[in-house]
Amino acid sequence: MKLKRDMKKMILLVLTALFAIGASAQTANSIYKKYSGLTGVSSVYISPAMFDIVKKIPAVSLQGDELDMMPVIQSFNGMYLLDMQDNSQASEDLLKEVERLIAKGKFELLMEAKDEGERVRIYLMRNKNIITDFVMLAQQGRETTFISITGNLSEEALNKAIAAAVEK
Amino acid sequence: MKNENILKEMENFDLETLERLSSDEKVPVPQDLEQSLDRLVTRLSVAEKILSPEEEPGAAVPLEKSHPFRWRNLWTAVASIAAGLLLVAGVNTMTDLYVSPEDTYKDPQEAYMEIERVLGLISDKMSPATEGLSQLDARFREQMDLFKK
Repeated sequence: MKLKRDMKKMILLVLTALFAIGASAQTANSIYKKYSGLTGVSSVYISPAMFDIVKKIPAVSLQGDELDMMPVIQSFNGMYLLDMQDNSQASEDLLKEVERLIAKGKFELLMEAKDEGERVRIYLMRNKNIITDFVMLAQQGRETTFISITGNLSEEALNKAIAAAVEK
Repeated sequence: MKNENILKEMENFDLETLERLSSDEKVPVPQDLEQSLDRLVTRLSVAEKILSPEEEPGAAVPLEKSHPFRWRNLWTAVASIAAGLLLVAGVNTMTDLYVSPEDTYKDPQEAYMEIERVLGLISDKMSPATEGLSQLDARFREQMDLFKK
């Protein structure tokens, strides 16, 4: 009886610790919640439910853009956008948080570009040949833009889109 | 002194002698003997209780007796409090992590236009890289053409 009571306490303690450890993980959701609403920060969140409705609207057409993302949007589930203008402290904090997110998750660097003082990094997370997460981090001076898109995009579709942009 | 000597002698009497003496009706019995004995017995029982108190059912037990200090109890108490705090913190953080924020746009058309804008933004940001790739691709084709000639 006493042994059962001790075992129950131990199991509860272990479960609680695991719970707490899991809860410490950084996610795009937590980053968005932290920075949206701050002064000088524009934020946009589009939920999976909204995407389901949007997908039923006639196809997206992009004008004059390098990449044709039309087949891509069909595979999106959710989107977070944080755009910081002229908030250097928040920008620095956001940069560090995103870097932590990248480090903790299984993200791989797809592209990094530096042009006219702007640094752009694009990361992907894959599950076999399916891209489940797309993160873009752009920094120019005191401005930082963070975009996170979740979905199920095949590598093939992404490669086609990039190839189409290269050919243009 | 005389009484003390009598008492000492009586201690040496055997049972048979004591029975014979008690049955001898010539020995006068003090009238208040019974009351005196009752008082003596009462005093002795009170003294005994004072010297070695027994636990009565329902009586308050001192804390140090009912809950003797043990390191095991302290560890259990600390672990319980820590587990409770961890649970509260975990629930709070999990709620923060996994509860989605509110949609920025209620109108699907507006959401659609925003997605279009964001994709255009991504495309613009990727331009430097894709331009570089385009240039590389063009130079590669030139070299291949030269090679073929």
